[in-house]
Amino acid sequence: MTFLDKHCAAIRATKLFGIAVIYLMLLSGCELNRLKAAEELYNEKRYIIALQQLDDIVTKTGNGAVKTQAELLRSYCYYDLGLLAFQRDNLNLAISIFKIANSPEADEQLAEIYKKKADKYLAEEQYESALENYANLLIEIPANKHVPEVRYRRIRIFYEAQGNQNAAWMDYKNLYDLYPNNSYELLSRRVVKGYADRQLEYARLLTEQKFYDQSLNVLFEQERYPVAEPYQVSYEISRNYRAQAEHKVLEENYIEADRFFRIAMQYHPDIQAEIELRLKDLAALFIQKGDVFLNQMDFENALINYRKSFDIIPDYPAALQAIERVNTIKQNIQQAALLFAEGEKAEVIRNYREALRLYREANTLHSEAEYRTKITQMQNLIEAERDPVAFTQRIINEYRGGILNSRINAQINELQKKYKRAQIRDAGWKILLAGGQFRYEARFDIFTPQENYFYIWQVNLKDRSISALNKISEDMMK
Amino acid sequence: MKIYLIALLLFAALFLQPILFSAPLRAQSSFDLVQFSDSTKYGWRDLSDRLDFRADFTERQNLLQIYNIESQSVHENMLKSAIFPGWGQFSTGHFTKGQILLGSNLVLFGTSLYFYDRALGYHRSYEKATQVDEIEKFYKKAQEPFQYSVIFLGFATLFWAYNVYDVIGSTQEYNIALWDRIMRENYRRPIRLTPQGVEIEF
Repeated sequence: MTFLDKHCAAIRATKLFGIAVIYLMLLSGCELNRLKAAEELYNEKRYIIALQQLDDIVTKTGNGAVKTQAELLRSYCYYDLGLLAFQRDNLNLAISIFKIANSPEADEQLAEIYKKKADKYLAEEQYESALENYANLLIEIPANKHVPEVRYRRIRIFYEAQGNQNAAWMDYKNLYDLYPNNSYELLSRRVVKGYADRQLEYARLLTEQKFYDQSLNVLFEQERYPVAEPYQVSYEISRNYRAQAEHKVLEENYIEADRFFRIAMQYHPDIQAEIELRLKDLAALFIQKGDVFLNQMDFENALINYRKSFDIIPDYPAALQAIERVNTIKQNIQQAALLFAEGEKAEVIRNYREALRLYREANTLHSEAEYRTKITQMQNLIEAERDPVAFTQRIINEYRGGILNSRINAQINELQKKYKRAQIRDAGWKILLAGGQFRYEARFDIFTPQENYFYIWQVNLKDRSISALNKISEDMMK
Repeated sequence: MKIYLIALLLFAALFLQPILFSAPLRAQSSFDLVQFSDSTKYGWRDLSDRLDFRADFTERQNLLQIYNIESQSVHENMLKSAIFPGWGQFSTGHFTKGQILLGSNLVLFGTSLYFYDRALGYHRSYEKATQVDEIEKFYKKAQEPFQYSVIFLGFATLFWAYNVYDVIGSTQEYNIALWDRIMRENYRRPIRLTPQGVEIEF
């Protein structure tokens, strides 16, 4: 081999490498080529082979993107196969294949199949089977365009064929929530109207039996859906709140009662005048309650109750008057306390007449036991100062309706049974000053030949109290 | 002629490979419709599973658009590496590998060229020589560098071919990593970047 021959051989070897490289390039795109091959098979409608190819790629590829592309193409294949099955009326096979296709487009077709099957069963009056297919549609393809119609058909089956009004109502609620004012929703209203009316009656019964919350639940549900007469629903809600308000009045929870009355009025403005009258009654109840506290001199609670009436009727005149009355009483009490203090000062300096005047004035402003006692004491002291002996005698004479005199006389009469009249002597009443300015002793002695009785009492002129100073005197007072 | 025949056989094998060795044809004889239409065959036992898959699939489909924008073509990278060894590897971020392949190819081709140049020098002298002794001497002298040149060219071509082959794996690796990154960064995030713009999930 010459030098040039060798040169040519080298060039040939390089060409071979070049071809090998191009081959490698084509081989390298094998996975992508397989995807393209599957796509071509799909375009040629050779779905089964394409699917097997795609399943193989999905299983083996390490590239998530290639896997996703293969899965997408696989879904298209199943969708087209499903369409073929559907066209040939092999509905069960079509359902399975569309489920495997698992795409929104396949769902649309699934919905068509379910509806077709259900409509067929419905025409044959096989309600359970029809319901099953409608349910499949609603569960699996809840946003499908047939949903309103399917709901309507289910409502009719439940209501008219099976008498299951609750189920019909549940379906109606669902229909209204998702498709308000849809033509099927409007049709469904007529079907469930009877149920709604019965629900209102039930709510009324619950209200009458004081199951207010349960009743409101029913009514609010009816209020939410445009089936029952809105005026009727509002009236029943108003009725419920009114009943609750009256219940609260009985519990003396007037604030809550007021709140309920107002809610009742909002729901049924026709009863405004009636409710306002009732609210006035309520406000008056607060005044009454406040008066009770006022009589107990509990000004705080009295004012609280009077003011509560303003929540019901702002500037309620009766409450304003009551509050003014409370303030006047409070002022009188303060004034009386001041006068009483002045009276005590006058009493200390023994100006009993002035003290009596002041105490009387205080008592006029605000009558209290203490003031009245002081008045009595001052009157006693004035009399005691004028003629203490005569005043003491009068106290003795007036004590418990003259009990002491009558008992002493009775004692004398008793002694006359044992002794002659002449043998019995008494010294009459002797009034003597005891310790202290306004304390006097009153004595009455009875003498007989064999026994003597010495009665002695101490009289407090200030408060007209009498206390026995020996045993027989004490017995005399019993 | 032999070379073109070999090439034709290789290409024929390449195109017939999916038809000859693919599973579909092997399985066609035993097609089972029940198994084929079994809606649970992909592991979706019920509607919930199907919906879960669909949610995941839709998410991935959206990300696929990002992937298609950012992914690299194997063919393009092979062409790059064929034109300039290591270029494809540089594109896929395999810098060390790219540098080694580029260096090796430069050294081997350069060495081959050097020996070839020497051989050509001696060959020119051989052609100009008039004396028998000189003719023989220069011819022998041209032989040795030429052989070295061919050997180094062979190695260079091998390295070049390996470089072209290697970029296939590098690109696939790059694309797999790219998909993983896209999934990691965008999959089911409350705020996602999609080809349509920023998407916020509440």
